[in-house]
Amino acid sequence: MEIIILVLVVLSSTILGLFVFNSNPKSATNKIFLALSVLIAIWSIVIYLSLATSSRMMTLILVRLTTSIAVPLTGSFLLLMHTFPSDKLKMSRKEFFGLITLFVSTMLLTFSPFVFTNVKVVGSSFAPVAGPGMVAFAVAVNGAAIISVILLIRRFIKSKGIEKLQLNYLLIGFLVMISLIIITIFFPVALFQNISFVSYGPLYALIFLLTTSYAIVRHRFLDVRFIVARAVAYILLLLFIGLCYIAVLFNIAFFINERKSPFSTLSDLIIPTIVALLFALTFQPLRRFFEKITDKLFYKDHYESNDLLWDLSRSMASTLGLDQLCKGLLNILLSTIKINYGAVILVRKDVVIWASSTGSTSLKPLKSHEIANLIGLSYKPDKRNENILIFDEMGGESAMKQSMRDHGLTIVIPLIVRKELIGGLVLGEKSSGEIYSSEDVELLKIVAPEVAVAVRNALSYEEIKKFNITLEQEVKKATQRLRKANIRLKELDQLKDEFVSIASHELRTPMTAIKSYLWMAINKSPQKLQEPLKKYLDISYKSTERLIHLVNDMLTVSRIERNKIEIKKEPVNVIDVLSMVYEELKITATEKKINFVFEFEKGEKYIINADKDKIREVFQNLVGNALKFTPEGGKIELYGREKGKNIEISVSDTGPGILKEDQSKLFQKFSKIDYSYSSHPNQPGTGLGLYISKQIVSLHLGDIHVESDAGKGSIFTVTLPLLVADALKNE
Amino acid sequence: MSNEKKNKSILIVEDEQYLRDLYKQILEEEGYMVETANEGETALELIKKNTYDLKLLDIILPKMDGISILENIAKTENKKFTNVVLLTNLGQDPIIAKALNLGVRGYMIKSDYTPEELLKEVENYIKN
Repeated sequence: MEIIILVLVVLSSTILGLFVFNSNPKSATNKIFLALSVLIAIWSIVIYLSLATSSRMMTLILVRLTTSIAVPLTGSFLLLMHTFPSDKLKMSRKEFFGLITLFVSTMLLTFSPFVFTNVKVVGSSFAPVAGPGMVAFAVAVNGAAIISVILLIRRFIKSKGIEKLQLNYLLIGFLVMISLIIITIFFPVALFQNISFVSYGPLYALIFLLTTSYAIVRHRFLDVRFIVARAVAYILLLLFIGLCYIAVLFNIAFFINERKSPFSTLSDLIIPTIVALLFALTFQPLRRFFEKITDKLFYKDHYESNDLLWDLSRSMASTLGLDQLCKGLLNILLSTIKINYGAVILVRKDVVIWASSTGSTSLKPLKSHEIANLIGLSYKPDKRNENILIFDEMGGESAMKQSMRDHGLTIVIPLIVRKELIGGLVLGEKSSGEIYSSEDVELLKIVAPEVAVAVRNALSYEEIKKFNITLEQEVKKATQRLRKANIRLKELDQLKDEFVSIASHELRTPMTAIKSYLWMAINKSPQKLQEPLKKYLDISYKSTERLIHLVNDMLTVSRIERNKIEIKKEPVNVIDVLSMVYEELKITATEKKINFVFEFEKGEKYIINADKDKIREVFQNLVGNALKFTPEGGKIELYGREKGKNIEISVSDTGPGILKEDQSKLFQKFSKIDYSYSSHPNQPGTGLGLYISKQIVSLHLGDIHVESDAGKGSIFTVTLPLLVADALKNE
Repeated sequence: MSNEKKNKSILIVEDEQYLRDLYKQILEEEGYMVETANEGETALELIKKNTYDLKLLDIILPKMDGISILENIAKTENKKFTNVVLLTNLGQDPIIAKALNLGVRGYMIKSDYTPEELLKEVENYIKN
């Protein structure tokens, strides 16, 4: 029974330890756990042997060994409680090595008579005799164990989340172990001197190891089923090897020893079995270790496909720049597979649009159309698996093969994105001179689509970048052109200003002479003028006047349109302005026998914020028009009324009126209104007066409009905002 | 009235001969003492040398324009131009504004005045 428990405990704890360690060999917790498991296994063996041995001397040695192993066992337990579940020791190296030194010296001490002086014979078995240091030793070991338990409980209380769950497993395992020890070993031994359960002790320890290992691997998110399956396989393997070994050993010994059983005692069988199992256990790790060394020595080109794929993916994910991307992945490919030359070439419609190469080839450089041709040939849309050109596998002689030989190319792999050929990955020879292995080719086939997508993305990114730069340049150019045009326009505006003023000056000067001399001829002639000479001179004079008027109006229009007109606003009593206009034009009205009625009373006040001269021009123009169109005996009225915050001033006449369809055109520049329906078809004007008037009124925030019925006359009304509506009125 | 005017002197600065002659003629017929200048430099000399009751000054002139004449006088003699009236055909608001700022009394656009109206204006300026 004991031997079964022993084997079970030794195997299970060793396997558990190794598996936990393997799940993350770098973790300190896992290392400590491995140590603990192995120590438990060794300890169990030593205890078993110490009970089984018949030699007195051997018993003493084994008892001392048992005690000695208890030290690192307790120590590793303490360390585990201190560290778990962290990957790093929670103490400095100094502290750690101090602890180790303490353990080792305590271990050495247990071999001295200080702890066990001797072994005495008690009945059929031996009992160790405790030395003077036994109590101290027991206190130290038990103290460490108690501290471990306190640590575990404290950590459990303070911990959170997944760590709490893990510590929970530990605690449960520990409590089960302790309670089983107390119930089945401590009480029976203390109360009944019954030691029948003592040999089960290691089994209880195994429970703790199980829960702890579960806590650790669960933390690593390893599938427990995997561990269990592997463990079962391992145990079966070990059992198989062990049994075979025993069978072979037994049979050989049986024949050598003249058909007598070679094993006098069970331990004679156990020890070689355990040794055999240890061989079996260490076989796998040792094999791997030596493989690595021999690989390094004899198989330098060997590389890990997974590592290479990982490196390539990482490199491709790290950049969007086409150049950087290609250089990066070529460097990795060339340095890992050891190739002397490599290039990524992008084609569009059989033309190379972009290329990046790394490494060197002494052979002649490839021409663009040749490489485009090769890449085109490498792509076989129907045969997905054969999308690769390998020089050594090309049968016969062809131009293509010759071209590859000339340029030292060994492999051409098309880069395909969504069935569209975007380019090729071109590789030279291996620097060792060897051919590409099937592993290399498979790997390249796996890599190619990934490279294709990455390159496509980088290319798009590059194109967008280029487009952006072009766009920016275009915008800059356009801005510059606009700026130049603007400067030119300003110059032109300046020139126009000068031109208009000089032109008007140059026109006015001779006109002044003509006008003045005509006036002199008409008014200061020594002889009385005879008809039709007087008539001719009158017409000339009037035409000159009209011309001067036109020049003045054009000058005004040009000022208005270039926003150069100066409006100097001040509070003005609009009645004063109107009476000035009335006084000025009353004479003409009288001459034309027109009844000109001024309907305001002197002393009335309507204050507006206005440029007096400009506003006067407006009414001069309106009344002037009325005078022009009103026939003899007609009537012109100048009147107004306050309306809300405005004053409305109207000029009405009894002229021919304006057709409805013409009324909207009236305030436009050079509006030519057809007066043929009226009895005054020939009324010359500049066609600018009403336009100017409207602009001036607008500059005063006012409005001008006309009401008219053809044949009944017109009413022009100007609305202007009053500065102060009521306070100043009738003051 | 004629006697009053005889004591009054007027300077006409005008480069256009026909107008200069006409203005001189009508003003002298009214009894004013009239002197003329046909370009800027002569005008400046005359202004510096003599005093006039009224100076009718054109702006666009050969050699030195009207504004320069005014500025020159303003600089050297610190005079106010209370008896200067611009008589010009130039319709540029900024230049006229500049002249008004230098202290000239007023401005007339030549083409807008008949000889009769001009005389009336001159009379007004001299009276006040």
